[in-house]
Amino acid sequence: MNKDNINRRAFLERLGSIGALTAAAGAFPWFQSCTPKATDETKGNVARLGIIGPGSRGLLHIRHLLDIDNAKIVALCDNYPANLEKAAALVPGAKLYTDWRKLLEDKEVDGVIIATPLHLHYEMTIAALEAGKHVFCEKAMAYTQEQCLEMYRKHQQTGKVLIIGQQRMFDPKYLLAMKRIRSGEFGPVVNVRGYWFRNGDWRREVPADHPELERHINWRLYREYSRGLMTELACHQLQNGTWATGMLPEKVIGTGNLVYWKDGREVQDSVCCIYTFPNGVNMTFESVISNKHLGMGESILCKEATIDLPGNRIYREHATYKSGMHHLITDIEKGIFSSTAFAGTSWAADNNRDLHGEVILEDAVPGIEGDGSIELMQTFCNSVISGEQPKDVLEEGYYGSILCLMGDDAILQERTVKMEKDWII
Amino acid sequence: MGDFYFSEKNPRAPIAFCAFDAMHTRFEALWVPDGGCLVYDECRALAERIESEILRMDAIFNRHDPASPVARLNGSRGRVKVEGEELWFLLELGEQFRKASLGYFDIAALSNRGSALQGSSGRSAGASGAAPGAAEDAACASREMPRTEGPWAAEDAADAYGEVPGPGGAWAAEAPFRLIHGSHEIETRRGCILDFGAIAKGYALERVRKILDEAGVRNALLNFGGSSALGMGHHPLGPHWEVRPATPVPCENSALLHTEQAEERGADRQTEAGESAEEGVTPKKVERCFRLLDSAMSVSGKNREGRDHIVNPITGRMAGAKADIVVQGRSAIICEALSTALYAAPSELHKEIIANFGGYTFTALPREALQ
Ligand SMILES: NC(=O)c1ccc[n+]([C@@H]2O[C@H](COP(=O)([O-])OP(=O)(O)OC[C@H]3O[C@@H](n4cnc5c(N)ncnc54)[C@H](O)[C@@H]3O)[C@@H](O)[C@H]2O)c1
Repeated sequence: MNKDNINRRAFLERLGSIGALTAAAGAFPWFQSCTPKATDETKGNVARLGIIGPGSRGLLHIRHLLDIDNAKIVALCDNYPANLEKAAALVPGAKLYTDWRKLLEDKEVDGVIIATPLHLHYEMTIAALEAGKHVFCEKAMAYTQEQCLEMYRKHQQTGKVLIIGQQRMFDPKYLLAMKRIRSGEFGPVVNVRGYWFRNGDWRREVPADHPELERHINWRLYREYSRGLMTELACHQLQNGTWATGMLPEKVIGTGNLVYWKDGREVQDSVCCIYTFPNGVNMTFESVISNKHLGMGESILCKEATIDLPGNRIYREHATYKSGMHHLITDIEKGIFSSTAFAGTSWAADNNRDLHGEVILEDAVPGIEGDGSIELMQTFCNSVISGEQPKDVLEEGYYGSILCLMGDDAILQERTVKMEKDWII
Repeated sequence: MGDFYFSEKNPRAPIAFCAFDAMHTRFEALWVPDGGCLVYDECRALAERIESEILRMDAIFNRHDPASPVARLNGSRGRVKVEGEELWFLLELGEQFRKASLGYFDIAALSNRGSALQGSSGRSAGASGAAPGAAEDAACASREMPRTEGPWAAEDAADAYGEVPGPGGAWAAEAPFRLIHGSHEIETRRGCILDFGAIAKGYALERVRKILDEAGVRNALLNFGGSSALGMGHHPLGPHWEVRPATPVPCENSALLHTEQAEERGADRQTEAGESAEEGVTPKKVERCFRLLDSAMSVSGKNREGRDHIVNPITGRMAGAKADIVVQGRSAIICEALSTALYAAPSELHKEIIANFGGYTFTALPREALQ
């Protein structure tokens, strides 16, 4: 087992030891389904899984599943041989399929992980649920709001588990922060900001001898398969807004254009949407892929603090003065003669911004290992075994997708798009 | 009232502490109950006296409060009477410091002199940042300033900025204001902005020293926002008070730091019983420390966000020195004025300026050492 594997395992185990998370799990019950306790309850059972579309994201899920004790990958399916081979090399014993419908007929498969391009999510999920499989489907949920709704209804009808790949809901630092935000500790939420800036063409390499694979490999760039930045990036960040406020936005305005990468692609490379909640609070999502200076950011702006979720920090609006005097007092009380640390240029209450902030979760694991993805897989495995749908997890994922689709509608139709009653579940 | 804490947890060293916000920052005082101020109630009453005195100062010197006498002066034009003895005292003191600091301490440094003057020598531009000519050299400009001989106190502050003294006389070309001594009046030009930010805290500390002294307290440590501190007497368990920078400054990073103090640091975290609490601390590794024994210190430099805020009165530009300046000496007012002046002044003039202030020493703390 390599070092990464050890870390991943250790991280899952560590979840049980983060005391504050128990409280967070109380507030956001879906998290209870991935705790060591929940996993223990499945002892002696394994989730037998089939992976459909082990491309970039699918391979990551496979790596995580290999570290999860109650997971067993029994089948793999991809219609692109190069990707199927890569996955097969990681899971030597798995049965291989090129037709996903055949995989769904496989009686040994209890649950499927769908990590294919967006346009396939709907068809594959509906068929899988009908085939009696539990389903984990990557975000965004589907290509249209109506499809999302149908998938939700199918899950209700069949009683099979359905989870959408919104890993932030399982990221311990997000859980801790959201719990505190929802408790009102930082005052009311006054704005939600999400942005994702990159500088790259967003292309994957197409083998020189197979130019016909362009659309298959670079599906993100074509409207037939994807809705661009809104479905690929925004749905994660938009979910933060509903999570933090406990409300759904009423409407969205947006604009998007192809500004730089004019290479025949059909999706925009620059988008900006503003969502408005019933209380007037705005949530912005902005993405540009020809400048990366600002990077990625997800902040909840409250009256008394700004919560930088990926940065794992809380910045207070009113910085408090921390001099060394308190240590000096404690030392005197203990009978110690010590120096006190406070000398510096004047601490100014007015313009002293809280530059360093307060950590949300000590020792948070950075990057993809700490972003909730592995917890999400653990949750799915536990749910496949128990047959129980984790509470609220689908609803959150559903609305994240509805919102990003509304945003893309607003951009394409150049109008304010309102949340429709029919979409409310 | 702000925070108050009284502790007799260590019967050999009871302490009282108070803290509150004032002058855009936070004031803290720690003292050893003594004299007529021994028990909780007495100490609490003393804390209240301290707080109301500092808030009174704040009300006088806060130029951002439109009701303050300083704001009213800034809003006035021509000749007006200065309200109150304390404001007059600090105006005079400010003038004396300006001369003794070769012009680098100036309560009118923020003034927009350029707008008031016609055909001036080019030493224009105020805090608004209109850049003076590139040929303007701080060091040269300072040579034109009137010099004082000897300590600052020796000079009679009659002629603000000026060659020509007395009421009704002509002003020095660029003086934003002048004081009229007999009548305690001030005459200001358009663009004159008086700002006591660089001495008011020091002055307030001196006022608190007096209050504590009158109450019979002999040992106390006062901290005004980290930038001005005053140690009365000594630490209840040690021979002096010791203050470290808020951000550690390792001695080895700077040739300017006194190794003699560093060497002693190794032994100073000691319990009353005398055993060393920090075994094996080598002098080289320890942090920079300042000792206060009936003395004060002041730090000037970039603000805590790393931005310059001290204006060089000679050029009208932000003083962008590389090192923060720490001044130590008897009076908290002088420490504060002097650290501001030394931060604004070119380093070549530091020796010359400090020579005018007998009994005061300074240390430059290179900024990179603070990062
Ligand atoms: N949650 C996250 O953070 C995250 C991150 C990246 C991608 N994703 C999502 O995962 C999904 C896949 O994205 P990706 O980056 O891995 O794309 P990818 O192109 O790397 O992988 C998709 C895979 O699906 C296969 N595929 C396509 N059509 C198929 C079919 N008909 N039958 C079987 N296999 C088929 C492709 O050959 C490919 O191997 C997308 O929905 C994307 O939004 C989620």
